[in-house]
Amino acid sequence: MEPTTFNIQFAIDTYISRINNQGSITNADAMELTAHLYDATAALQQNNLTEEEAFIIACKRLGTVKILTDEYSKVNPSLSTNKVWAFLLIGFNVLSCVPLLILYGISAIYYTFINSTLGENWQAVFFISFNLAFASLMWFIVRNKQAISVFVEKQANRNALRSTLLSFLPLILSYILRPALIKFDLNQFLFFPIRGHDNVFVELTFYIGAMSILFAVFSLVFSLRKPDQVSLKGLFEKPSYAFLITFGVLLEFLAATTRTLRTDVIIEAFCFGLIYLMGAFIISYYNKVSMKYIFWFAAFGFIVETSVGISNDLDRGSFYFTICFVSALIIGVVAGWLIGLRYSRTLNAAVLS
Amino acid sequence: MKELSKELMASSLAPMVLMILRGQENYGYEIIQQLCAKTGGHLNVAEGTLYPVLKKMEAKGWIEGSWKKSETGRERRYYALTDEGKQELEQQYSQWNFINDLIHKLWNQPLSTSSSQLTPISLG
Repeated sequence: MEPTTFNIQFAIDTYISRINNQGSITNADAMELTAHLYDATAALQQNNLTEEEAFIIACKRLGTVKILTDEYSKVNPSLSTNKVWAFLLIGFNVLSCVPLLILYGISAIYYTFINSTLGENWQAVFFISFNLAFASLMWFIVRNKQAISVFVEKQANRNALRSTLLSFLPLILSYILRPALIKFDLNQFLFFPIRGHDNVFVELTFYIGAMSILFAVFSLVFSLRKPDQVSLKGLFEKPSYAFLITFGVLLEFLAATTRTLRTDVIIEAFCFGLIYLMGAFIISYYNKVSMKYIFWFAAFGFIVETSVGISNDLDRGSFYFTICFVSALIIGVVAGWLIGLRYSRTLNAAVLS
Repeated sequence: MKELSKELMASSLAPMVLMILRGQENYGYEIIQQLCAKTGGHLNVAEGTLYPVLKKMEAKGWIEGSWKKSETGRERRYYALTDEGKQELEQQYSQWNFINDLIHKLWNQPLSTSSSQLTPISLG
């Protein structure tokens, strides 16, 4: 018979810490459950069972982690209340200070190295890369919201006090570093590229980066009832009218950023229509009967482009711009709708076959 | 083994624990053993769910818990019945007896009896 490596103390501690990690038992509860497992294992061993066998049966009789967590959470409501406060503090600290520190870090790099060593074009490349990386980061956060929240929840459950105190670190760090960081003027760093470089791509990517924050918030708000990963299908399949109108507003802002290209009006209108085409395509692709959805999605853009466009055109003395952009919007939406329907049918046919 | 419903089990666990503690103070594992022995193994619940019940009863003032060292040197939480708990036990005992009598009477009613012929049940 092989010598056993089973360690009862380690086994019990591991099992109890699994329950403890769920965050619904106090230290006294953990001690009581630990004492129970010792007593139960010792009692079962008297029936000619090994210590390991007795421990396994004792755990089984004690109940699953889920059952115990559910039952204890009914009698320990203050723990969940405190946990909510811990989450609020962690969320506030992380959201208010981490982006600030990242921006200060990047602006320090820019003012220390890039501004003095790189030429105009390479500086533009730096800003474009930064803006696109920021937009990607926003999308990454939204895509991985579940993994991020599970991580934060796990940390808070394991040790709420330590996690909350740790979350104050960026705040403390930003206060300590403030005298040194103040010379890296954040406002100048953020808006200088637009004013100083006169580069349409820097400006365009800046707006894309800024819009990505709005799109991230939009995706999070409209996926509150969908606990799984945020996906295009999850967001766009059977959308509500509130979702479609909000999406239409955001897409109009995004489409309007193409005017920063400051090129020929036809090209600008083409890019503008292309963004509406993509929006209409996604809605149409995920919804077979999508005409009413398309209408609500495009309504805001159509009204704004027509009313604001005509008002501006009156000043300019020509209706050329409004005709171009409104036509691009309509063509883009109709094209996106038809292409989406076609590909949706292909997808359905492939699924059915 | 007779399976008791979760709801019935939840409501009957507290009076059963109070009855066990009527004799002497006891700790969680021993209370469960006594419950199992006295119910002839019909008590089919996860043992760990007893502890939240004990905690709830302690919060209501029916029982009082204290940590004591066992013969093995490990600490155990012992529970003892309070005066409030004794009164609660008496109340719950009479309530359960009333329900038991009621069910018994209803069970023994002739199945074909019309509503006008039903014997009134005394609640006193």
